[in-house]
Amino acid sequence: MATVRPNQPPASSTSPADPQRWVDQHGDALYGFAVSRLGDRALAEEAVQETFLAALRARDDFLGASSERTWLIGILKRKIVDQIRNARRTPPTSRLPEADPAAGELFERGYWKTRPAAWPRDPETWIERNDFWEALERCLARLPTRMRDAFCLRELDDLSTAKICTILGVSTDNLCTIMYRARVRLRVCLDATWFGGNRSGGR
Amino acid sequence: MMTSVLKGILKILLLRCEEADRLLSDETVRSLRWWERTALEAHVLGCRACRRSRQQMRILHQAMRRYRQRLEGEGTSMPDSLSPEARRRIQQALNDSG
Repeated sequence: MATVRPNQPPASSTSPADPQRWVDQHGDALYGFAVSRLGDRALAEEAVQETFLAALRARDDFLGASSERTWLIGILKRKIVDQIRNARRTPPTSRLPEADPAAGELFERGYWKTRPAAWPRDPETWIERNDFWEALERCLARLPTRMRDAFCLRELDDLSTAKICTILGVSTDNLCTIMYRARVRLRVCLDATWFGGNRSGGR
Repeated sequence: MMTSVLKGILKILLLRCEEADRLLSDETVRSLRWWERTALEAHVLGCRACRRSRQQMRILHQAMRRYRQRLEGEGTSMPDSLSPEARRRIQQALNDSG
């Protein structure tokens, strides 16, 4: 069912919406993204499959304004948000656990027990390193589900505070707490698995 | 009964690292109130530990932005790969629906 759309920007090596090559070209990227969001390989595979099927049904809507990858990731993100919204793994609550062990161990009487490490300001030390991205994905996967959901809805999907609160069923105050705890854990994890023992060129 | 100004001044004088660290995160989610903003800046000015912590948070944020770009870019090799079985299964599902 090929259609010719006027004003279609010239495609790169493949014509717009080329389902035959989707799995090869985009499968791994979508899967990696899904794993880091869902923390579960089977769910991630399922999300990728559903994304491709939805994209197949909607392929005539792909106008080539963005890249195919961006378009597919957009569909995948919506699938993920739906799953977060529907799963509600914990019931909506106004009360969070009083303290998070990760945060509690860093401070004594309100002050830092140990001064945080000086991470290198220069992104060159990590930006092209595959093992850095592995470490980041692993740290994300280790977050408790709700912390990961909140953090990624914000940092990857760029959703507003109001939107995230609606999806998760929490108040702004709660979201602040969840985000802070997520950041504490991620910094501790990255410090331990990457920055701490690994200044530039360590691995 | 404390007025908001008194409360604010106390906050500025008494803010410690743990609360400052929390505010560093909060300011990305909600707007800080005037006394929170002032207390935070005053504290960070004089606290190397909190400056380091802020730097870590900024790098984390930068990394996430970059991570998103990598995911959406073409030809980036990502660490996690679909298994061959999953690949076949998904390709099959696509073919069946084609």
